[in-house]
Amino acid sequence: MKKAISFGLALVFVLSFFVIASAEPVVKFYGYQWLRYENKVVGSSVDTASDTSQFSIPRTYLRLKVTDTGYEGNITMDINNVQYGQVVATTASAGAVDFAAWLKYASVDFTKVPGLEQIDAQLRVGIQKVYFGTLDVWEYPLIDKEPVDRNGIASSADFGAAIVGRLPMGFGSYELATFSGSGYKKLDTNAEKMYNASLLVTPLPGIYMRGSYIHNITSALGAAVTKDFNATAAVVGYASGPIEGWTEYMTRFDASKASGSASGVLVGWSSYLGINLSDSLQLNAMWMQNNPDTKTVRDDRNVWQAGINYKLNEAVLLQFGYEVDQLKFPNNDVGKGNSTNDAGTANLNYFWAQTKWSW
Amino acid sequence: MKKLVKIAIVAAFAAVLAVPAFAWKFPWAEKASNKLSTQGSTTVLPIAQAEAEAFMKVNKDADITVSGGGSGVGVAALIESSCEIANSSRPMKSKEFVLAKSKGVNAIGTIIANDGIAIVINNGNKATALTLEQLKGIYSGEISKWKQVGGTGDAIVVISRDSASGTFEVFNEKVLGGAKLRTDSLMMASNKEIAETVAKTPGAIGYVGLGYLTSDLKSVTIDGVTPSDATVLDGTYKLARPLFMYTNGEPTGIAKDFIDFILSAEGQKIVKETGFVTIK
Repeated sequence: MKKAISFGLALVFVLSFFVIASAEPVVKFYGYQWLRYENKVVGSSVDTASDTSQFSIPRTYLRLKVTDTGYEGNITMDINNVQYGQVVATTASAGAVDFAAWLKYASVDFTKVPGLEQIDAQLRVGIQKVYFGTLDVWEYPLIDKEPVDRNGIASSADFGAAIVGRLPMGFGSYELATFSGSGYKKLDTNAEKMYNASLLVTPLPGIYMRGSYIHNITSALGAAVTKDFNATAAVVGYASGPIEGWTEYMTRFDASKASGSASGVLVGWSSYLGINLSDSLQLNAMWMQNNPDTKTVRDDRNVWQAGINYKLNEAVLLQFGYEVDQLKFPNNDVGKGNSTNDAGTANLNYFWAQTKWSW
Repeated sequence: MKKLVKIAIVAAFAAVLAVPAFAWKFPWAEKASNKLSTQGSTTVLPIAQAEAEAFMKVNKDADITVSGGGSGVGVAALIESSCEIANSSRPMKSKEFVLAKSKGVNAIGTIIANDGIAIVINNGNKATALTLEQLKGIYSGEISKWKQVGGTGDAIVVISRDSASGTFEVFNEKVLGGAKLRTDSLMMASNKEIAETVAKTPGAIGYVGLGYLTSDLKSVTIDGVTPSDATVLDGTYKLARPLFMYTNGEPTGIAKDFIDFILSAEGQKIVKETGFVTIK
């Protein structure tokens, strides 16, 4: 059945070329870059803490958008620094300068597909965002990744095909997608595919709810073993004047992580609050709680973040952030049921300063 | 259970914040009541500029800034609360409405004028009428001789607005309907340029806003309908569209005063003077 769906989407993809007729394409080149400084203190006490500080360019997005009758194409090339991006030279010695370049997004929206156009939907094919919780809508008001990405539940982009549609009367939107399941950095070696569905409802201006689901059966080509992977996210968000925020719940079951001592189930909660004090000054805060495995004792972690954004002008944003990442060492207190004992708790402190400029 | 209570508290808090108003700012971030920022469509730009000048002559304290960028840019600015009025030569798209609502912006559009596109040919051409199908054929290159459509002369010289213009956008949608524009079309940057070129080129055909029709040009009927203010208003002329100003919620304060001014007899006179069609 799933392969039939994949084949059906592929067929629609091919047929879509016949409804494209070009007039005068509009081409737009734009992008942005992050220039970052990070100071990180790791340790459970002053005596054992280690201190690192680092400059980096964790993201350079070069974007090209081509719009014409019947389609819109997008290409995003990401060039980034190794430390915060993807390690391409594992033998690089400390202090070495290295950069990686990735095709982060490369997709075409077919906007006039018969049957879809009539229901205000379009077909999107290629490397695109994965539609899950806050993953694809996070615009980095705080410097670090949003909870889904941080918890490694899903890759932020993947290769596949999606139907992206809107509900009538601006009541919301939805996405139905099939992806490689391998993420955008890897060749698709997944014999089965990942399925992703998401529904956003905006009953009133300022209130929205989103539910997202991923089902993936990972199976290397030719391998007999398959592993179930399911993830669900629910988001409730609000925005009113200068205040916006959301609360997100997520859970994931990964059969490959389940064993006699592990359930393979992750549960996470998070809340974000942003306040625009003025047109140029914004305060942000986020809390994330993450229990990586519900069966493992004392493996949960709490993260608190606070940040200040200052918009110098339309093209330049200055960001400052602070994070406390508190994690508990597994099994230190097995049998005691004493979660207040900090003997096995480590705190990681981060300070960030970042310039984001765009063109 | 405790988590459900947390969600309920957050949801209730959100509802309290969202329901009373959608466009509020902290007192220190409020703009002066005499300041207004409008942004968006380049088609609407000349109307907005002329109206702002006239409005500020009457209201000496008013400080209205008008900028272009395109309808999409204006709508995005409204959603990000960086302008009070988004000028748009098209209705907002459903995905823009969804994004606006999720950002607490209740976008409400007011039609401030109409825009009609007249098909013009050289005065020496005997053609008087075209159908939309013939027009599509001419602009796509399927029809290349005037004798194929009852005109004078041999080759048809096709003149179009450049693809960045809102006028091209509506022409592309309503006439070409996805067909490819003739590759040898002459692309002009303004209505004025098209009018001047058609007036002095015997085999030329072009399209301009109704305000640019002069005795130097001959306009043809489309599907038997003559382009005029009346046929644009009654909907019988097919190459027409409304022009919008979008606000967050019903317009208030100086935004309301400005839009009310545009909708007034004086404001609509300016609409006509700038080459567009009034709303009634």
